[in-house]
Amino acid sequence: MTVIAERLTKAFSEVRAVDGVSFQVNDGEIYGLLGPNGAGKTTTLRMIAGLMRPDAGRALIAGRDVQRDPLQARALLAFQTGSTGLYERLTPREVVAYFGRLYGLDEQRLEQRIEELAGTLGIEHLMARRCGSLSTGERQRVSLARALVHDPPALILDEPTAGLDVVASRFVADVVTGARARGKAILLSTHYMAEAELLCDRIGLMHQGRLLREGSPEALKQEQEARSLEEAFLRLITGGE
Amino acid sequence: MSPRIVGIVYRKELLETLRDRRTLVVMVVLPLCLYPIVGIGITQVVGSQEARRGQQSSRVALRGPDWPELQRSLVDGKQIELGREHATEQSVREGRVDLLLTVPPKLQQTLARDGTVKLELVYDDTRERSRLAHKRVTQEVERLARKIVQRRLKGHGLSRELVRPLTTGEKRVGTAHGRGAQLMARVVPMLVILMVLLGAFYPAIDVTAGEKERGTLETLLAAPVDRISLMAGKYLVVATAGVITGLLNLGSIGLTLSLGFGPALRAAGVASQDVPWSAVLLTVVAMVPAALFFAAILIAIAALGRSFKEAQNLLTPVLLVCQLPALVAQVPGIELNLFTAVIPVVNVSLLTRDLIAGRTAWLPAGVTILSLALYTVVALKLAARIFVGERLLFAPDPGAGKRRGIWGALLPHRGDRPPAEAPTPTQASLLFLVVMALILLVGQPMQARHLVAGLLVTEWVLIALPVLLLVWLGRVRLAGALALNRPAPAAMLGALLTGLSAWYLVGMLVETVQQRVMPMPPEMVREYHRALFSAERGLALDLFVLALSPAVCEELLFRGVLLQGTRRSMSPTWTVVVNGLLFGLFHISPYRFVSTMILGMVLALIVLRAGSILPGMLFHLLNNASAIVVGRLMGSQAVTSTSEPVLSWPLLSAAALLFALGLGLVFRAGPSGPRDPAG
Repeated sequence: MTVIAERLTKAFSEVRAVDGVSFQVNDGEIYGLLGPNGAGKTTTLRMIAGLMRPDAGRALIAGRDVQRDPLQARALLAFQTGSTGLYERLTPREVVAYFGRLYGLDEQRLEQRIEELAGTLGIEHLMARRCGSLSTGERQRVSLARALVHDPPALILDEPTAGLDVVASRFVADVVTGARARGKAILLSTHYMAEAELLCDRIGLMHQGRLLREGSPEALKQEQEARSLEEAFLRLITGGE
Repeated sequence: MSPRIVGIVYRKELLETLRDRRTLVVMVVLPLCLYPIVGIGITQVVGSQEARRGQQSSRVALRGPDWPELQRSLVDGKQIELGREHATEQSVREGRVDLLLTVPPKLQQTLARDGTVKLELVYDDTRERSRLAHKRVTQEVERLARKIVQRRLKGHGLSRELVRPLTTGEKRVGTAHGRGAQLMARVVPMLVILMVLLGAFYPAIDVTAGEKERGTLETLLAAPVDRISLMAGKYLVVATAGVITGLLNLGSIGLTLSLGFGPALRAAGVASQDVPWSAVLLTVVAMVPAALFFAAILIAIAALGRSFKEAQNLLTPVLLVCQLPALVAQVPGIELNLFTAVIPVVNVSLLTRDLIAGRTAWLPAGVTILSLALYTVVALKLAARIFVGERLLFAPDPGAGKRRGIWGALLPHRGDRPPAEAPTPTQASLLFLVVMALILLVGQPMQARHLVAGLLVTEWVLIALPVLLLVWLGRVRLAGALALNRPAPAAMLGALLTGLSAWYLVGMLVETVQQRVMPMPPEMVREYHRALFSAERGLALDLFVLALSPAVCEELLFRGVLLQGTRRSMSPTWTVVVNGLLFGLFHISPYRFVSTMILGMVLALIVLRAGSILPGMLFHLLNNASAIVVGRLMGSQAVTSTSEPVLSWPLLSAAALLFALGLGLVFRAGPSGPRDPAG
């Protein structure tokens, strides 16, 4: 199961937000799109999730073109946005069930998945409360349950640890590495270099809509003769001037 | 569209809506509490006020000689306190007495010679108590006057009938039930429209802009569901909220009137049991299409908002704009006819009124429902376009947002894509609605003030200019949008022949029938003659204003944007029929509807077949010019629909022959260039 981006390009008015970005995420791999705010990470993820139409290039999920075959491609994806995206007036159970039904799960399977996820993510005690009353960390767990309800083979997570405390960030990291262990292809974006270095198997460094380099954290550091990923990134963008 | 997804979205949105306090207050709490509280409250207040007024006596100061008979009459009813204290106008003004009654000094002499005694009443008409005193004293004075008349007649040995040569016997044939219906027909339409709108207001914002603001829409759109199904589910919830609110309001009005509002009904000569509740419930026939229509409009506009507040700002004017037409049912003389049936909101108001009053004309009622359905479809298509468009889903870069804003969602990006070949059906429909609104609001009032200037402004500014703006802003290829192609010479010749003959053939034939079925009122005939055959204007001016201008401007709209925008989404037959219908509606007169509709169909047929708008313009020019020229030559009698048409069979046969020959030429010629596969 692979996620492929082929020369993805997107412009807003005269500004090229994403400029010919290509990469591939393999099964059992965590691929991190790394870059500062405004680098084009979120736009790239949105194009892969089928939320935005690329001006040029294409995205494939397990060989299915996201634009030509959108429903089938999206069914193979879990997409979590930068915000937790929960309905304040619904309970976590209702939110997860709603998305489960939209993803085509039958009621029996849905119940089973809700119980599994509630146990795995430690949210059993929250399931009957309204989402509006949950803390940021709790919301992130519920949001993960919502994204994973259909047990998809590919995960796209946009800034999954943004705004979370250390404990909650660690929890999310555990969920992501657990998914990798189960053979999922995981594509995430982050601007936390240290987190990416720890979590990702491969990293794509983005700047001003372009993918400057990609490779494992170690390979990128070696190439730039840097001690950290942050240093490697800074050398890359200054060297390009 | 997937019904399964629509159902899932509908159930979830309904659950959320029912948990929204704002919506619940407007949808349930307001109707259930408002009418009983206000109704019963008002009844109590009015009732107690009336009771208090009844018990309150009027202080009347008497000046002049004593007149025991009058004084007895005044105090007999126990509501007037008569005083002899010194009082002046100032006393009345200051409220120390309610009325000052002055009896003239030579009272007895005047009475003895059967003269007229003039009593002077001074009261303060700005004071409620003083007005009441005036009413009471006047009643008593009139009663006494009648007694004196009787006495005088008797004294002269005359009968009462001498001074009462005429009387009327009245019988009200309107039943209490009918009066109840009339009362409800005045009140219910406006309440229903406003409440349906209010009920759908917050849900429309919540399910669109609200979802964007909360960041839930992005995750929802990443699910493997088509966006049309998502929108349909959301739309149905908004419509449901509108219907529930409307029904609860109706029920609450009914209960309040039945239980607590009795005095108000009695004041109108109606008892609770006289209110036609079954007819009031029949208003559901109008309420459901109205709710579907309002929901589509609200959701289309709310979807433009990127936040709850922005959507609220956008929707508030809609609420305000709808209030005025909602009041139409209260205006006497405005009927539901084929014209008012196509004016949104006005048609709902009038249909609701007629349904309650039990005098529904079923043809306009059907047109109302159909036109509402048409507007709903257009609004839904617009809503779908906005909903599937990514431009409003994600905040664009600030520069682009500032430059384009909300209108950017409606009009394609200039420079982003190559120009479109033709306008979309939505663009075409919206343009028609905009032009109609402009004509009704600006063109007609201007024409009423100054006919020639009004007509010119209508044609060139209100019709042609919006067409060109749409082509420019919507980035549509000019030639494609307006069918500006070179026609085959035979097609132009065909248009010439049909144009010269159509005014007589269509005009005379249709209008002969129409004069028998639905004759134009005489005052309208005179007005029409004045417009078309004014000797004060030169022929050249008339031809420019009444023939050339419509031929260019109206053709740009109807056979240009409307025909080119709709022909790709409909079969040729339907395209022609719809174009003709819209052309008929455009003339805003039930008396000219059929003839202009037929002319519109012929024009659409010619332009479609010729692949060019120019034969259409030529036809239109010649048709109007022939009517004007022949009208001037022969006098007005034989030419227009406004007079009793004089049919000449030889002329008619010649016109039919020319017409058939011309149409045959157009069909034979076809388009001059390569045929458009969509056409």
